[in-house]
Amino acid sequence: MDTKIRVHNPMGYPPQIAQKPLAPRADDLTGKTVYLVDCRFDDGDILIEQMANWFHDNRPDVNIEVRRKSGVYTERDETLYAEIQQKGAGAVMAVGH
Amino acid sequence: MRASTLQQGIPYLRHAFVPQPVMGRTPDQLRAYVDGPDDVTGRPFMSEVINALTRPQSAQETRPQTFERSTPRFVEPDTEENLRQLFLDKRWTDMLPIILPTEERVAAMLKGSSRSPDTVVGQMRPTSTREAWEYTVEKVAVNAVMAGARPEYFPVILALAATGASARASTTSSAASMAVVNGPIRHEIEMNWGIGAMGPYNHANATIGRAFGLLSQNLQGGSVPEVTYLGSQGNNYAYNSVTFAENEERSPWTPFHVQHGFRAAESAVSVFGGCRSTAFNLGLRARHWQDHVRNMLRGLNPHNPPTFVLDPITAQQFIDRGSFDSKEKLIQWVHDNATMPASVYWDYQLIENYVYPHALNGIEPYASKLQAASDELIPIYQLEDIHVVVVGGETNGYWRIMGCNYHGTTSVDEWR
Repeated sequence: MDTKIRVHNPMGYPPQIAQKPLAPRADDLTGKTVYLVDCRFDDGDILIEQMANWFHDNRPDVNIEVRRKSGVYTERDETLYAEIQQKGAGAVMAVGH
Repeated sequence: MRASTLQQGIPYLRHAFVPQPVMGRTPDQLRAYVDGPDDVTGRPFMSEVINALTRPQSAQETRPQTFERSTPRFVEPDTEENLRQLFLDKRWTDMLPIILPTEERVAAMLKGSSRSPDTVVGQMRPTSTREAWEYTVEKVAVNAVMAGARPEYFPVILALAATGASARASTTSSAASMAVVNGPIRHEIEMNWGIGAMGPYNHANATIGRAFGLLSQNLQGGSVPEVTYLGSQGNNYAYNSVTFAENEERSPWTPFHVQHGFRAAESAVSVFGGCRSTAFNLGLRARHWQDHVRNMLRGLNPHNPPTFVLDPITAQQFIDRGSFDSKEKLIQWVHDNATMPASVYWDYQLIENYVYPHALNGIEPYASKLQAASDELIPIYQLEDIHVVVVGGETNGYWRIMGCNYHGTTSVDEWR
């Protein structure tokens, strides 16, 4: 019963992963624009709206842009991402159900 | 979340977490989430958000890195008992006993196909946003052995693997798959299309379906709860992926694979995903059969189109009652009769999530559907998404509708 046997590993072969850099960070958000992006998860738009309200109440010095991503949540919205890259100091993506 | 971002090459992506779920919470409840603590760190949620947006990046976050990963061909030799435990601990099984894939057993399985063991069969992933893993004929054979399949079944299992369609989708909706085999291979490996074909009564049906599940979870890189599987309720169909052969001999219609471009003398396997909802009925009543079928169709989710799975008795009844002398005529009737008011359709959560964005982007036919008046009856399903398969042993006229998405039909003969 204690005889050792050799068996195959059943897992497939993963791709290599290369790290992508994060977007540059702003030192301070005062006077800058932060995008709050609803990615179309269930009721994520309501959560984003409440985060915008928080900024209004607590950080009125930050310009908030609330946006809803085009397409379903598995797709990229290149137009919006380009706009954020050009005009935004940061973005919060609301992901999850 | 962290497993997903690692796979995307952004392992240090910054997160903040409100409690889950968000769905169904009122604005006041969600404001309380925003004002409250981060569900993971316990620190104020919005402080975590501001911190993530402004904290200078560390050397670790900016240093270019490559994450090397590989899969060894074998696991470390051990006793049978320890290896069984290892396979359970690694979540390489469906939690039922497996056949350990020894070199001898895998070599025997490989004899079921003329293909070289190192031939790349395809790639698979748990969901469209995750990375795809690659696999060879040998890797498929390993999983086929684990499932208890016989070498003569191997071409069907390779064909299933070649579809690239996972029977272990990670979706929170707990989807399973369905596999339908057509052609001479059904006879050669003694599959069942008669009594109990969709149940645990045939070795080929049972183990081919189980192999489809095991190869999916292992070759795509796992199906581990909270990491690569998020199905909230799970799905019992996943144990053998609803695998059966079509009853071509007793069907009054064209075999499924012939509908999709194959010759009757060819063998093929068709894969359906998203199997969750099932409606069932007994026969077709003379007076109200159309109402009964419409009711069944309304009981499915509008985002899961219907595949009619008919006992030969009921297939014949559809001809007798509705003069549907082809599957295509029945499919057209289903399309025209599966309707609901536009406002009700667009309010379904899955339609909101997956169809409405396409309509907004002008993609047809969704964009035109969006123009319908709120009380106008609109087709729920696209014609090309509706299918018909015949299976059963004619002990009675029970039949069902499976809500599922047709993925495609693949040649079995190419993998012999």
